[in-house]
Amino acid sequence: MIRIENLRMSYRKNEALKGVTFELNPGITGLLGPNGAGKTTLLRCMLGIIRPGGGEVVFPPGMRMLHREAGYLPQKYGLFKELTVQEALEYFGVLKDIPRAEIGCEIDECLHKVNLLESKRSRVGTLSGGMMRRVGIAAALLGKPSLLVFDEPTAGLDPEERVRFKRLAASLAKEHTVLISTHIVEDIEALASQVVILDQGMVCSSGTLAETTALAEGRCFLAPDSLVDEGSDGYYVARFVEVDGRPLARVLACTAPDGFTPTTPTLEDGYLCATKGIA
Amino acid sequence: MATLLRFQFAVLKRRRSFALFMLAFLTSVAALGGYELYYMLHYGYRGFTVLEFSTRYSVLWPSFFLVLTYELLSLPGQCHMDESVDAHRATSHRHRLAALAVPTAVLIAAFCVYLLLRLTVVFASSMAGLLLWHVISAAILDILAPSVIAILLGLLLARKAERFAGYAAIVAFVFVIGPYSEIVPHVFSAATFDAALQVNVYPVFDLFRILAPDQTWSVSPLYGFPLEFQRWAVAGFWIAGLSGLSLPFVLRSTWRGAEYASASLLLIAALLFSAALMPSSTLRRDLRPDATDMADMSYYDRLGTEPPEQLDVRPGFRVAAYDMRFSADRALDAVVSVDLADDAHGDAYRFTLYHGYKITSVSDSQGNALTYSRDGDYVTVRSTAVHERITFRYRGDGGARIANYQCVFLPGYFPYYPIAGFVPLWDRQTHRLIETRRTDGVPADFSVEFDAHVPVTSNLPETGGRFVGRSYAPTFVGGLIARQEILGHGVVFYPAGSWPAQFFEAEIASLRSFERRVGVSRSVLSSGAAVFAPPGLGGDQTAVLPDTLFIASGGFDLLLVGAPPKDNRGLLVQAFRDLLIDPQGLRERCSALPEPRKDEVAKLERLSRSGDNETLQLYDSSAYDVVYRLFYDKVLREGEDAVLKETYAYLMSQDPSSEIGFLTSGTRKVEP
Repeated sequence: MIRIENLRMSYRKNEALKGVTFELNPGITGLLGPNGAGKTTLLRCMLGIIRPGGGEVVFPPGMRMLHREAGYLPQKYGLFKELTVQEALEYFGVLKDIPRAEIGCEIDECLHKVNLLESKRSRVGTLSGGMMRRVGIAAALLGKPSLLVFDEPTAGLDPEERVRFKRLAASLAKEHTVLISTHIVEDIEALASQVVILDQGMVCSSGTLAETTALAEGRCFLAPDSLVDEGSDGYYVARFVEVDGRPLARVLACTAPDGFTPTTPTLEDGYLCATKGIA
Repeated sequence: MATLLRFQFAVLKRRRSFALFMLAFLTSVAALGGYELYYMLHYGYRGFTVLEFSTRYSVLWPSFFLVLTYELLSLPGQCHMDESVDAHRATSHRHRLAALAVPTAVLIAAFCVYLLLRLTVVFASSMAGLLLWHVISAAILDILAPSVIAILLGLLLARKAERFAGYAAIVAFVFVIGPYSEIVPHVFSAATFDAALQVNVYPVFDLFRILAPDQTWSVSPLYGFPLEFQRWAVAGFWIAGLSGLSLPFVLRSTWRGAEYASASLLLIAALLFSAALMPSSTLRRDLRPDATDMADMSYYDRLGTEPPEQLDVRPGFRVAAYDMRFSADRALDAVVSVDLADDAHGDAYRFTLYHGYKITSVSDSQGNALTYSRDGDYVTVRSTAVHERITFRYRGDGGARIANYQCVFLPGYFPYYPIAGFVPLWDRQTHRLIETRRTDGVPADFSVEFDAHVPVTSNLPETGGRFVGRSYAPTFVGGLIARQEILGHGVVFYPAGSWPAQFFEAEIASLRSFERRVGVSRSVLSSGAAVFAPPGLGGDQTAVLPDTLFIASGGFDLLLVGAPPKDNRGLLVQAFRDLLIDPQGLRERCSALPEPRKDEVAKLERLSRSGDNETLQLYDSSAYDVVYRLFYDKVLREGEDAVLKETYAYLMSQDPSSEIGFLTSGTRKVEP
């Protein structure tokens, strides 16, 4: 178990992380939060890309420094377009201090895992966005890290590639601790066993998928959209849905307003309750 | 690391724009160097005549390496690779070092090609002994150092600046270090020229002058390429400063010593910055008011304020002997003791010492400080007591008479040591230093110790590390020199220039021939006199001292050295020269000229007597044919030899008549 304790980070006067504390357990952990919540800053601090203003990352006994133990797929990922896939991975292999004799086999192994072995002699510049992301995952897998950190891994991918990623992430979770940062709740719902919700530089919630979903227990309602006032202070309109051909609004509120019907919450409802302060 | 390097080079090679850019640069380097080599082999030019060519294009080097480094190092950012690289905290520096190694390797390769071609020119010119280290040093300072600076700056820009800002900075940098930026301080100087407070921003721009100074009008054969201490300090300041700033990017971020190393480099940069600002004797050939060849004119002819008075006061004593100790480092450092004789000085000892040398102390033979005052070039030591010896300590810069680490040029006609009495130094008519000033025709005994970093020679004989002998005014020259005995004279010349030893042989021979033909009884080149070539430092002049001759032009000009400057004798001088050098050509040209009319001659004579410049210009433009025809008629009437002697005597005299008057007045008595 890796423990993040009271991590703080400021950009000039803007406090990006205000004492973030949570634990990372084996399996997939989803780091959820709206844009600007501080997710990428948190990952960068964890990996040592930027130096945090305070706090620490506590490793289990015997574990190496996190930046050596982690494979990282950043939000914007790229490689020299002029190199082949194999050369690009070899480049990162050197940065990961993989012995020269082992690097070829390991590249093949990682490419096999991401189903790109046949493209290893292709120039990086010729790959599609999804293939590029998979090369990034292969690069993250180099050196057999115990922790994989993916920042917005499905952003910009087409549905087929998203499905492929989810399958891949699920398979990787068998051998690695995986932290996926995203604002797309469906991805986490499909993959994660734990969820950490970050908002305005603070952890709003941390727990299992069920625990996070339960945050919206008794606070999730359906109502005819004619009754719903989007500007109301008494509740938050999550989205509009159609049930049996009737237009309804899915609403989050501490107490049920008149005419609103309770309904079963989802992870998204739990996430919204956490970030909108509907407790 | 080797793997990273291999892939970085693969990127450079496979990205066509980079590869073409690099190829164009390497081809230019080879072509410029090859052209110099061809120039030498085909046309037989040697030394700086050849080597100065490619130096003019040195701005290409830092420009190329700045763009290349910026592009290569910002490429990972453009490819969105930075973050995934930075995640490897302990090893990410390898990536940046590998990226930096590419322009560095290209620089090493290109520099080797450049240096090899230049050294081939040096060796093929048989000048290795003289120029080898000079050319290597110049290549390092003018080419390698600016390129290293450009690479370091490129690294910083790639880390800090986006495309637009990055390229704006590149353009600004290339402009500032390039020759065209001189317009900025020049405009400031020109705009405030007449103002009481002249704005001189040249010193600020000097801190950006990392390239060879503009040598468009040729490199001094004595000085060579400017390699002054100040230029090394400026280059060192930028390299240390930029290294200090960029060190955190290329060192392992987990290494705690990085901050100390960075701070140390910044401290070194600060020290070098201070060193670059220290006063020094530097060859400056730009448009600044105090540029080497403009310093005297700016000082003596200064506008807006009262120019310094030129005094002529007899000393009332004689200097029997000089004991001098000179040291040429950043500037000239001097300790000069004068032994006085025939002392009737009254209440003060008066000396002349060039104003650029700042006196630090004046003392008597016991070491007691003497009271003195300084007014420009004139030093007055107040003392009614009789002193056998006075010692001056001073340090400074002599303008075009430079003494520094790489060159010494202290001609005898220049007061780089205290001269007895107040002597006028500046001729306001010709706007030149008075170069024919003599030390009252009285020689003194000199014993001189000269500590310099270059070989130094003098008209004084050297024995046991000291120059000892009797002279009217000793000359010291050091740098890229050679000395050769030619026709009984010790000739000091500069093999890397365009005046080879044979030139002096021919000029001395022709001077003697001219002197024989015009009947000179006492040659301008006295027996055994030392001959010095022009150093090309700006304002080179032909000058004659009793035991030293400075040749800045051919034998004919030497013949007329000492002739009074008269505005209405120029055409006659030309005709006289033609008769001496090419009499056949003169005959052919003049026989075709029409006979001048009497009224025309009379009118021209009137014009030539005018003191007005515009009238004299009108005269010069219309009198050419008349003067030549009258001169030719005179030759026909009196014979070549008689006309040569008579004309020479006239030109050397203070005769008030104009050249037309001279040519129409009939035969004159020739002065012996």
